[in-house]
Amino acid sequence: MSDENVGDTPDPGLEEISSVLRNPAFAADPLLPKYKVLAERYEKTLRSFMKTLRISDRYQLRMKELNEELDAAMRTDYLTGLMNRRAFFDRVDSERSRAKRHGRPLSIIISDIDEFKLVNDRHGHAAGDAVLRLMASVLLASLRQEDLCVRWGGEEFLVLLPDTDIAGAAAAAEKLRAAVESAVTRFESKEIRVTLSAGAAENRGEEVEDTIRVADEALLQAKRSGRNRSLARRSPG
Amino acid sequence: MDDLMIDGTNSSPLVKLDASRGLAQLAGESYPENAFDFFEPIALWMRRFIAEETQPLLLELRLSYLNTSSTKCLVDILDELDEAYGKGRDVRVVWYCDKRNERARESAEEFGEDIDLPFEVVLEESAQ
Repeated sequence: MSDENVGDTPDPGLEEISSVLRNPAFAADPLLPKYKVLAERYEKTLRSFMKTLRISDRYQLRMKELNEELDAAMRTDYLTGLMNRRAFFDRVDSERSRAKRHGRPLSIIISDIDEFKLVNDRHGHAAGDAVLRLMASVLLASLRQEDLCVRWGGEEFLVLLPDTDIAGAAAAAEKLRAAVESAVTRFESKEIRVTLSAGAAENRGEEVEDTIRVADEALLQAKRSGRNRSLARRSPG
Repeated sequence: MDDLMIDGTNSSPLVKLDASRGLAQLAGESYPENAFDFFEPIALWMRRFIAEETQPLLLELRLSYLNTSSTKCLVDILDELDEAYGKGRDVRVVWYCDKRNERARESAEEFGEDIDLPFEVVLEESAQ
């Protein structure tokens, strides 16, 4: 036998067998060659076992990586790279309890690109997609690291603002509106401009769906009063 | 000697063992309920081929995933083929991997370790 190690792992069984076979008392044993064959077979089995484990570990690692990729893909909007609804609902509960624990405010903005259908109708869906992608990056650039920006629906974006009261949310919504207004999507040879309407609401401990409803009402009011504007509403809770 | 063909399923690879061409092919994923039962006829065929035939043997693998029992069975088959190679038989293995799957390549290469027979890993645009 070459050595008592299989790979880098010493094997006590193999060490024991080797030491027995090396013992001078066994030198004249007529069964020694047979023992040696058995010892070799044991070593071979051990090697193949270790090899199987190494390969199996690798497959498991791959599976784990695939799971993580899948998990990330499930939380991400494919077109814009923003988080999606699932990611929002995964995070909002912990943000709510954090806000409650520290006595800090928490707000939500719902925003919607104005007359987005016209972009698709005039320039085609590929142009519409380009606008959505640019808007996603414009919104992200106007937000803080800790804010969560979600593609809520077709041309609708929701922002979760930790540690932000209604005044802060109103300011953030206005900032988003202004950023979108000054952004230009260059698609093929066209320059496409869109505007954004936004509604903000503060969560006062009520269910998040209720806060979203209030922000939605503010958004609707912003749309009704002429679009390209932001409004904030205090929640009833 | 006879060929052995087994259709692929969700959990077991397609098996094509062609004695006259000396070509053995396994393709798919392998996590059958009982890997030892599944691989036994394959190992037997290889053993018979080595014992009864004289032409070279090429083993072509397109296996993207093997569970632990299947891995053990394949390691054993490769050991037997390696032994035949050591005794002068012309045996070689080519493992085709999906180019985009780095881990699959690493696993395939791991199968080729500790054996002397020609073992080649080839990256394809899309295995499977």
